[in-house]
This record gives sequence, structure tokens and C-alpha cells, in this order.
Amino acid sequence: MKQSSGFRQIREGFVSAWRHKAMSVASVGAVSVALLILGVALLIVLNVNATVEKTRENFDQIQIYLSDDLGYTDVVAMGRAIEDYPEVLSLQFISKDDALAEMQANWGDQAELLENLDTNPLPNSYIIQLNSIYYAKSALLRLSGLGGIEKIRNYNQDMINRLIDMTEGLRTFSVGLILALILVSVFIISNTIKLAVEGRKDEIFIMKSVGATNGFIRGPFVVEGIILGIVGAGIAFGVLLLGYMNIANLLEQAGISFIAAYLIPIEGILQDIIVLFGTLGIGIGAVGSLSAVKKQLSHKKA
Amino acid sequence: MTAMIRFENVSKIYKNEVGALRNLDLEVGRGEFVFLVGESGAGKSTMINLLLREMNPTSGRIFFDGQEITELSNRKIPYHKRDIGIVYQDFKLLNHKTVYENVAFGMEVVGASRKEIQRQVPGILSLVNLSRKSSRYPHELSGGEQQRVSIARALVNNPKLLIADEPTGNLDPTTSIELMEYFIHICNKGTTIVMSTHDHTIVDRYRFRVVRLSEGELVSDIRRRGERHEAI
Repeated sequence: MKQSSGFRQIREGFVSAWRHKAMSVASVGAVSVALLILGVALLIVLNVNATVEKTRENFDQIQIYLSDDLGYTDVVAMGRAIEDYPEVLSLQFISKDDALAEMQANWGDQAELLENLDTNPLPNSYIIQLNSIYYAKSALLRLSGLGGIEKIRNYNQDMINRLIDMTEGLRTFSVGLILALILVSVFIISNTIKLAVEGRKDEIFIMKSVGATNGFIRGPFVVEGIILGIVGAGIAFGVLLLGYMNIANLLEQAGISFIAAYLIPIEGILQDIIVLFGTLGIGIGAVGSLSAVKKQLSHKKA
Repeated sequence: MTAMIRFENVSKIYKNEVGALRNLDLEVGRGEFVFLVGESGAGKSTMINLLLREMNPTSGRIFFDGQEITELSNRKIPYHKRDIGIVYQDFKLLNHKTVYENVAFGMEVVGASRKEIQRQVPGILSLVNLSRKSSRYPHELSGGEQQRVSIARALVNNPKLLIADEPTGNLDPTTSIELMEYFIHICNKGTTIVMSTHDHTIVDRYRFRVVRLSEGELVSDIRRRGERHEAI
């Protein structure tokens, strides 16, 4: 008994959505656009955050390239000295050979170009892991006093700050925009459902008079709203997924392919996006349709 | 045995006075047939809406089948309505559904299974003599037949009370009398009937109890002899 009436409600919901095709398309479109913008903003924020995190980690590190004039004992002595700095957490020595091997690994197909070298042009180096990025300045000052260092490499704090500011601006802007778009979607779905309710006023009147429960009367309309919400979410998800998977190509075409290497893999956030879009799609649909049928079902007050 | 309907000192006050009820006391027994008469605005519709629990009275208590319906929570109102069948002057049939589907609709929407519907509807259709027209659409039927469809729908959930709100208002005299025979038949089978009407010919012809309202007050309540009429 329950099953057959549940099935009836779902069927009625589909039939009604089909009957008001134009409004259904408008509703689905509104939900898609809102969620798509949400998705794009979300991906940008997540990616920038990931980049900032990576850059921050790098900033904890200072790499010093050593002059080839330094002998073995000099290198070891320098290492001991640096290890004693209060700012330093740990120290890693990378020999010329290590550096070349790493380079060959990184170059992949083109690694054979390196095999014809007579001498290894890469320097020995130390990678210094600092206790905290806040010690960077004093550590750099000490290191600049040492002899036998060819080059000190560290990372630019300004860039990190700019990235952080950018994501925060984007976050505030997109939260406002997305909230507004969600409200618009709810409103459009609500109007679609109102149209459906209007078209079935006679049926609703009879349903009420023979004693159908409010839940039963509401059912098909809520199903219709949820269908519209889910279809809209599905479209937004599809477009977002395709776009993101092809973004490396798109960036390459735009001549900024190096950014692609920083992109976080879609697999890691796929599930979160499905849950987010599903919840919002269903929520927008349900809220929109409930607000549309509310007036129809209220009892006359004494 | 408790009465089917009891109004205890019921008043309903509207802002504009029209259709109000004043200190109404009334009892309708099980299986009774009651005509409810009075001019428009005398309070007949208010009485019906109170019985259906579409609204609550300003003061007083209303009992239906021993239950005080003025106390019902909103959740329980639909279940209360299932005990009452209603027939309207304008039939309120769904034009895109057949006779059978219109009657079945009354069961579907209270959650009856297909099996229950298939068991119940043919019997009800034969009660109102429409078995042969079950696959017709409302516009293919005469006014009297359409009203019989709406009676069938009102009865399909086996209500304790049948309310007929001006059921013959859109019908010619001959058809009205024919329709009355169906109501009497239904009443004789045990369903309580309250019929609001303006039709003097009908009221005079059948010697049922007549409750008359005027400006919200009960002005007369006449029980006549020979209440049992032979059915068709």
C-alpha cells in the first residue's frame, strides 16, 4: 500500500515537471548556473589554498649552493656550524651527483642530453629546514656571513601574501554571489511549482475534501522540485567535471601550462563535490516547492 | 447510543456578520436524513465548514460520532474528513479522468491500494447505477449522471455522514427527484445525510426532518412522520 502510493507520487512529480517544460528548463538552468559558479569558485579557492600551502612549506626551507672550491672537510665543518644555528631544525646534504641524478629523473625523456656532459656542472648544496618561517630572516643573515656559498635560494613572502589576499577576496565575493544565485533558484523553482499547483487546483480541492493528508498532497510537488534541483545539480556537475579535466589543455592553449602542474587532482575532491551539489540541488528543490504549496494547504484559521 | 452530530451552543462570529452562527444547539442521530434550509448567508455553509473542521467556532463545542472535533489537531483533520463524504452543487469532477477514475481518485489519495480500489469502486458505481458508463468522461454525461459520479466518489471511502451542499442546484426538477431517490436509498442503507437546499419542491415532497436557519439562528426544527421512504 505504501509502496504504490509512493510510486504514484514520484510518477506525478515527473509528469508535472514534463507538463511545464519551459518553466522546468528555467528552473534547471538557474540551479545549474548557481551551482556551476559555486563549483568554479570552490575549485579556484581549493587550488589556490593548496598552492599557498605548498609555497609555505617551501619557504621553511633554504637551499644554499656551495662553491666547488670547498673541500670535503670544509663542507662538513660548514654543515656542523649551520646545524648549531638555533633557527635550524634539520639539514640535508645534496651532493653534485645526487643533484644530477635528480635532474635526470626530472627531465625524463630528455635525460640523455645530460649523459654527454664531461663534468657535472651542478654544485653541492645543503637544504636547511627551519623551525619556523619566522626565523627565515635571521637565518638568512647568518648564512650571508659565511664564505664559500655561491647562491642562497629562498621564497618570496610577498607572493604568498598576495595569494592569500586573493583567495580571501574571491571567497567573500563568491559567497555573496552564490547565496544570491541560490535564492534566485529557489524563487524560480517555487514559481514553477506554483504553476503546477495552479494547474491542479481542482485535484487539490478534491484531495483535501476526501481527506488526503497534507504530506500526500504535497508529495508530487516536492518530488517535482527535487527532480528539478537534482537535474540542475547534475548538469552543473557534468560541466564542472569536464571543464576541470580539460583544464590542463585549456591552460596550455592559453600559454600558461606550468600552472597545470599545481592543480589538485579531481579524484580527491570528486566525492565532496557530489555530496555538496546533491545536497544543495535537493535542498533548493525542496525549499522552493514547499514554499510554493504552503499557501494551498494551510487550514482556515478560527 | 451517541448522536452522529451534536452542536453545543455553537457561535461563529465573522467580521462582516454574514454567515455567522448564534448559539446553535442541534443533534442529528445516526442514519437520519436532515434537510438544512435557509436563505443564503443564514449560516448553512458555516455549519458545513464547521462539521468538516475547515474552521473552528468562536465558542461552543461540536461532536461528531462522539468525538469533539473542535479539539482535533491539524494532523488529524484529514482523517476526520474521511468519515464525511461531500457532494457539491457543481459536482467538482476531474474532466480528464473517466467515471471510474474519478471515483477511484477518492480512494487513491487516501492511500488505498490498487486491490482495495478494484474491489470497492464497481460496487459503488452500481449503487448509483453507473456501471455501464464507467469508462465515460464527465462531459459525455448528463448533469444527473455527473452528480451521481460525485455521490459515488463521496461514498467510496464508506463515510459515516454524507453532506450534500445544494446537490440539485444545477439540475432540472425531474432529474432532482431522480437523484433524491439515490440519496434515500443510501440513507436507508445506514448513512446519515445532511442536505442543504433551496429547493422547496424537494423539501415538501419528502417528509424528512427540516432544520431552518435564519441570520445564524435555528428558527425551526421540524420532525415529520413517515421518515422512511421506499427506495427505488
